[in-house]
Amino acid sequence: MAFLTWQGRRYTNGAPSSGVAVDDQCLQVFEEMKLGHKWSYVVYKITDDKKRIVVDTKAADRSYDDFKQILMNASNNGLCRYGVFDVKFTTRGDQVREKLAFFHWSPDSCKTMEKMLYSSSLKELKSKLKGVHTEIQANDEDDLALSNVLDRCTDKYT
Amino acid sequence: MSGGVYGGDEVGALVFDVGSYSVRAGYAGEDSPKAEIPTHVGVIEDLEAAMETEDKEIKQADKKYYIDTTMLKVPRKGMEISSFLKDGMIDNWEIFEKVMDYTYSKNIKSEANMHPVMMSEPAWNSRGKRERLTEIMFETYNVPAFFLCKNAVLSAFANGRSTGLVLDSGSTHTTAVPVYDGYVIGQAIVKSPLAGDFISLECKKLMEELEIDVIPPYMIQSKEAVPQMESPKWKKKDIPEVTKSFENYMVKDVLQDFAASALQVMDTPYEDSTAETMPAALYEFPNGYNQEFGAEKFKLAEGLFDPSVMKDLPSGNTMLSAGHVVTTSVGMCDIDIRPSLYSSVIVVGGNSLIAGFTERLNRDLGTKTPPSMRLKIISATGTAERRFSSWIGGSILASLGSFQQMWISKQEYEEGGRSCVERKCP
Repeated sequence: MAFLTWQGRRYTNGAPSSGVAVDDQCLQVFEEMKLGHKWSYVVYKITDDKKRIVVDTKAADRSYDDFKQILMNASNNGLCRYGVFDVKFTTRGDQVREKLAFFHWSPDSCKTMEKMLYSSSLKELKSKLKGVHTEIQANDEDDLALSNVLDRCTDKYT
Repeated sequence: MSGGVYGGDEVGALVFDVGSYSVRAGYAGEDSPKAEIPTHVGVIEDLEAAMETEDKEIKQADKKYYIDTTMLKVPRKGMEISSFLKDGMIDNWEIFEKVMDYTYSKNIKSEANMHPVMMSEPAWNSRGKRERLTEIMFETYNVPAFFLCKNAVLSAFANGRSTGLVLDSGSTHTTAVPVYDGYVIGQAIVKSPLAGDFISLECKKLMEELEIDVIPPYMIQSKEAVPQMESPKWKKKDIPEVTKSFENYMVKDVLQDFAASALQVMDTPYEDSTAETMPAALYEFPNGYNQEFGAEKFKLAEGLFDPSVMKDLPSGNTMLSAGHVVTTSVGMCDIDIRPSLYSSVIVVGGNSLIAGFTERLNRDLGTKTPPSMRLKIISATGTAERRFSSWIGGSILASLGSFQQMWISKQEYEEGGRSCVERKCP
């Protein structure tokens, strides 16, 4: 059987993981965001064959509302998503800061299969995306509120 | 096996979820377990067989095991009821193996060496027990691959969270297990004995007080319908003399049914004046006796949320209510993660199905949660989802094609020995 001779197995040293692989492109887009602020957001999804995490969509010069809308559209179709948003804000000292916020979008209305798939694959993706300022586990629309996101990004500056 | 289309890479894995009330078993990828077998089994020790061996070496008494509801609930002379679990962990390996043998032959109906096995374990399982279990699965059952997963993590994942507090109210314990990023925070696990068995015990005390004889169905030959509160008319069956443990188990069975159908937790702390205005619940016992339970049905369940209402408390009682279990556990976690735990309190376990449980929990926690933190309680509405949440989580995980690389394979076990479970299934 396949699992007897499987080569290149990985070892986990923590939470159980689904073993879903992260596409190289995910990391590439993330680096472009982190270093060049090329994109406002990137949304990741797991492919239909449940084997890889890939870039679903990305865009430049968009607002948080656009990003939120994409996540809401996914949940209306019963789908979970991961996302990274480049949060821009001004500190009290009038300095403009940019922080990356990672989202695990797993609406409570989704089916168990979908939720299980995304929560158990999360670790692998997060371990690759280094330099995220905050992680937001969002399960309903309230969690996605901009105020909540700003709170998480700005707690050190206010 | 049935099962829909999933993930590809068919591995035909089996999922076992061991709980203090029952063991859930079935094929990965299916929506619900194929079988649910009581964790308690009936044991008869054949003393005569033991006496006959007059050899110097002392042979163990022959034991006969009665497993699964239909075998277990038959009155037999000298049959003792015992569980293979202690504190949620497997303790009696002999009985455990008997139950596994039974499941493979009667429920799974397939050879153990054909299917990888995913098993759930309590979050506080000891290293020695994990290794022993791994050894048994590979050596005795010859499974091709094995994986062990903490039940709280599976429940959290199945509810779409990698961080959250899992409140599991089962038969023997109510536990709060904080899960952060898919890791169990072991030092902050809080357990309380205020759970299903405790409720049954409280019910028993009430029945004694009200002088109601709880007659389990196995003793009843026939019964007649009687009006409310009138003494029951029933005929006793001709049955062999049974042990005390069997009688207790069967009485508990009736009381569990009583608790599930009649009890209710009040929205606010119990008060006689409010409870008396609420509608009463009529319950008919197996022997035909029936009575309405008014304030009692609230008072009995109140112990879960306010242990001080309990009858004859042992002095110095420090049992924690469901709300306290949660706040104590969260309080032991790092201050930075407390908000994310309070915003994902996941309620699972059969005992949480008592009417009004989550509503009351919401109220109790609401008064204790710091105002800056958002409180959200997550509970599946369906009975099966609530009782089998960790089985369902395991079922999905084990059915994923990509999960194949995560199993401990037979080969790895042979190379690395039983300690490989610590490395692969931390």
